[in-house]
Amino acid sequence: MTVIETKDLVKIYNENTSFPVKAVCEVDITIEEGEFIAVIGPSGSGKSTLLNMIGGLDRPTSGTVIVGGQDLSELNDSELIKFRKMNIGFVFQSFNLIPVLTTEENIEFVMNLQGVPKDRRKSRTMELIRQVGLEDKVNKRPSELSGGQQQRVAVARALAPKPKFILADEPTANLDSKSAFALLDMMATLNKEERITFIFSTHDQRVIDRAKRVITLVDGSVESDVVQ
Amino acid sequence: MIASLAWRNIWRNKTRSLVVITAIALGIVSALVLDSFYLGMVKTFIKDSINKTTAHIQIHTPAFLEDEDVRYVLTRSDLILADLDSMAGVQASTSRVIVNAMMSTSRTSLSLKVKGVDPQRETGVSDLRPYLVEGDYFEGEMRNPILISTLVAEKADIRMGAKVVLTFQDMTGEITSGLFRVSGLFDTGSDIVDQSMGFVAKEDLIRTIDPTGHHEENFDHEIAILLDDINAVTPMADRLNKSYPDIKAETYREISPELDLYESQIDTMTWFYFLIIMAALIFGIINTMLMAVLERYKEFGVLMSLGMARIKLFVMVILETLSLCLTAAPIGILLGLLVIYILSRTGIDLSMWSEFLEQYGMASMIYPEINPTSFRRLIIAIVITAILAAIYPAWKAIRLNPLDAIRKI
Repeated sequence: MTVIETKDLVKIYNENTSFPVKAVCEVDITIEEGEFIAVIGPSGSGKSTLLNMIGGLDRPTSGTVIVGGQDLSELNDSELIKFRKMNIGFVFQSFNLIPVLTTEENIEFVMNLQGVPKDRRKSRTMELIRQVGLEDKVNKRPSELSGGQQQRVAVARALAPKPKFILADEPTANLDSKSAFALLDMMATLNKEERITFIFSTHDQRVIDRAKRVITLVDGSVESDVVQ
Repeated sequence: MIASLAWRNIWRNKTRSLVVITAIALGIVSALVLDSFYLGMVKTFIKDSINKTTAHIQIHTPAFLEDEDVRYVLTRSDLILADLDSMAGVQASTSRVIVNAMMSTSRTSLSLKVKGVDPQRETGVSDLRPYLVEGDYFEGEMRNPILISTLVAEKADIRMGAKVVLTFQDMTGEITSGLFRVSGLFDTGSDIVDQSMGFVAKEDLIRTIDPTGHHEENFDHEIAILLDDINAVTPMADRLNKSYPDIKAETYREISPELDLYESQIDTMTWFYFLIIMAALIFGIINTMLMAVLERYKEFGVLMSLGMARIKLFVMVILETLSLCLTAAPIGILLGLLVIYILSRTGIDLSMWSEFLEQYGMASMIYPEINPTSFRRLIIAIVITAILAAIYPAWKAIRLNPLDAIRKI
């Protein structure tokens, strides 16, 4: 089943100035459910811009992004916020956990926004905490966790509302090797066992090696799209 | 969840939040203390006015109120006084004879409102004794004693024991005179009393006004009443007006309408100070909250990326500001009450400005009083302040683009 489809996707920054920057050029990609994809390329190649448009954080200059059959360009800002909340999980490079919330509360947060009843929220949170192996850190705040542990909480948070897919922007960039491998193992297991679709933007060879499909962007265009 | 998040957020920077809470609490303390000070000033002014001039209720004939003619006497004053003596809630009552006289000395003449009082009953309503600078209160053997103020004595250039001639109209409409001797000098601090009033014994005055003695039993122009409870004044006046249709009983507010004006002026002034204090707080809170919002720019972007609606973000920032204010409010109120309690015991001594204050009939010792209505006012003011102060930072927070915010760091 197709989860994401982009058609002639273009993003130009500073469009109406004398120095327009074409970040993404006519990108057509289709992503199926359960894929484990790395989007790679040198800095400035348009990886983050592509992911931001797929995630509904940025709007394309032209072209369309269809997620689960919904054309994102048809949604206004508040509909887009709602769509993100219900369908997309985000994992950020610098974790971006809410510092005043505990591990449990951070994971619960999006479900809370979705209005999931408390008992279902709690059982899902505990299930995810077990999956990411942080049973002993339930009541710890982000400042009390290591980078790897924080990123695991971020992954659990992204998974909590059972999104259609997870967008991870350089998730291992701030992690040591051990933590990075542990995180990748965990995500690979989730992908394999629960058919969760993961899309990474990365420079990290460790991530590239584990990906099943690698899309290479150069100057905003897809240079290669290889299934490993 | 939003409320809990807001509460935890304000404690992320404890020092900053504590500084804001302290500033708000101090603002509340100053607003409360100022308000209680003004209330104390008004109450002191009213109390002084009641004790020195108006009492709680005064009774006259309607004609006497129109034209203070010596012939307009209360024909049933003895009956009214007896009635008042038996009434519950009446602390004291007294009757007076009033004439507008010309006081002449060997050197000068000046006009004086002379009140003939019953010294026994008068002290229960309006006690002049504490204000006596020299002499006594109708206790000596002196014939036809008169008490005047030090101010009048100065104007007339006379001293204790000096003879003065009072000239006024008698019951037949003829001009008559009586020789009186200064037996006491007083200084009440009230311009109304000190500048124009003299006090003599009632029977001495009646003897001169009504030499025939026809009206001896009921020769009074005024009955002054003091009640146990100031709140019972209007019902009591109404009751007297119903019971005695030929008289006019007036409350101290009707007698001195300037009290209402004074009260409303003080009230306006209090609002004005409230506004200044609250305006200062608004800018302080905006500054703090704006800092708190701007330094969490990225975090707000993340919250919006995760699907937090702008309205929830807006509410969260509003709740953060409200939490700061509502944490400060009880502290400020308790502290304010404590300060007021202490000041209400010790009083605020303004004697260094006593001359200035006396010109306005104000006492130099003010005892602040807690004003229950000011709490309602204050709570409304705090909530309005908090909301006004919160709107701009909250608006700033929701205007951000999540992507820009995430890129910020």
